[in-house]
Amino acid sequence: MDKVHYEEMVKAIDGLTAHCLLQDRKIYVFGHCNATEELVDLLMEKNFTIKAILDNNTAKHGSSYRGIPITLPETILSEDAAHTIVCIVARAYAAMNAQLRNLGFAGDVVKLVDYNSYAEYSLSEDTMLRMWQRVERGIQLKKKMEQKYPGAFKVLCPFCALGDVFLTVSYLPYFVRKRGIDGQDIVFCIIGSACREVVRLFGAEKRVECFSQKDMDELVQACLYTEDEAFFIAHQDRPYMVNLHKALYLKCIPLEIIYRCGVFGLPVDTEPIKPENLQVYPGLEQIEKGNAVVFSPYAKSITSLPEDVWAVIVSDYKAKGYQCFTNVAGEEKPLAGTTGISPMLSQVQSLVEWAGTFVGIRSGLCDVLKYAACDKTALFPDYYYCDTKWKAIDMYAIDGWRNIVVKDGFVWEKS
Amino acid sequence: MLAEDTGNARKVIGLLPIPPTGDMPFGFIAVDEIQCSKLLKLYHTYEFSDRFQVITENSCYGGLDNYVKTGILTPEEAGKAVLM
Repeated sequence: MDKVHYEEMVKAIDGLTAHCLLQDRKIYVFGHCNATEELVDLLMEKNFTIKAILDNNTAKHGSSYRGIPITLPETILSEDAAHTIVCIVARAYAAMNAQLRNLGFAGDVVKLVDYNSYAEYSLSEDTMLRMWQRVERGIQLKKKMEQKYPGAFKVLCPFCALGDVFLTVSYLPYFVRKRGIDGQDIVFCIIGSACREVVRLFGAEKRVECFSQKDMDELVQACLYTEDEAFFIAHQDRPYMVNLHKALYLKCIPLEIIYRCGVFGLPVDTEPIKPENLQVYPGLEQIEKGNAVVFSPYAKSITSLPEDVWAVIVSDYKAKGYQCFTNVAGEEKPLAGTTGISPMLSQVQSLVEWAGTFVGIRSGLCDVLKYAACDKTALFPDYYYCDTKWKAIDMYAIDGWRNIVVKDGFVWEKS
Repeated sequence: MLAEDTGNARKVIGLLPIPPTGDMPFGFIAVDEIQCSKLLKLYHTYEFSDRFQVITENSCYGGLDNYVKTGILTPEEAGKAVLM
């Protein structure tokens, strides 16, 4: 969960506590995912007890998180609804709420984080008016873009996710050629400065506009409403009209192929464009060439790995005489026994190539480093991709890397 | 309108006024063009239900049809995926 959503969740929990809506109640959470685990952690920190984690994925039933069982949603029906509350931080709040209501649960179901501003399962006049006003705001944003970039083709990357943006820019030249618009100006609409940096990895001259998540959502909705072909929404499962994820209920399609073939409609053998605007990290002289390792343990949108896993890996490299660094940003702390290092995204490839070794949790940074000429290991927490039966490694494994799943009993194989 | 006609159907698909074929694996409700236009307008305003989707090729975003064109899915698999 990113920082903004985490703070939203904390505020929501504090609000529920202040109104005595959690105390003396059976608390359930719905939708097992990284965000829900963070919610569980927060509730337990505040000395609340969670009865169970409800989840539709039968493969998870019988397992647990921090001793809290993961069980089917029907479990909630055994409770007195008046003294039960279901908290949701997973993305599909609207569908989950609807499911609980259809099951007959009449207790409180609270959304603690608003990810999905597109969905509101109601046809009340108030809802329709509110959502129409949202479209109108989006249309104003759209007009501003059209005035600022007349005649340009606008590509919308609707989430602040480095890997998604990297994949988009990698395949866009083929896509615009397919559309017959390769002479046209292209403007990338992204969220966050890091995503801007990712776009510029492919060329300093690339035009980029940065939006807040709220404005991006409204702009996307306006593009859907107006069906304007001068805009393209480059994402594999958002917004709600994109149905690519349904294929995953039939077969495993790795994320790269989802973008290449599903989002952009390109032949399966299309080779992605590589970044060319790379810079040299200015502090290389402080790093032992070929005898250093850069760790990347942080990723904002997935379950973090246990500290002891990293401790074993760091210990192994230190025992072999490696200089050990941790890639950190903002308030992130380096792993114990390592030195913090903060290259820009355009510099990180030069850094890991000089160092010789990279070990990171599978994140968007791994996409940025996809082509780095060094020893590369991606560590995958053991989780399912959304509500499919495919594991994260099935979806996100990278060619040319060591791809390793970290599950209970994980043993780091010393190389 | 749809609530009255669909009853307890697990899935509802409204189609444009085209003649149904005998092998369609789902219930069929004919809607006229005005009703279709209103539903589409609502659909493009927000996601009002997770039980309603529009099956169409759209140049503003990717879709299952791209998987058929690129050979990732057969048309039959895409048809099955749509209903999931």
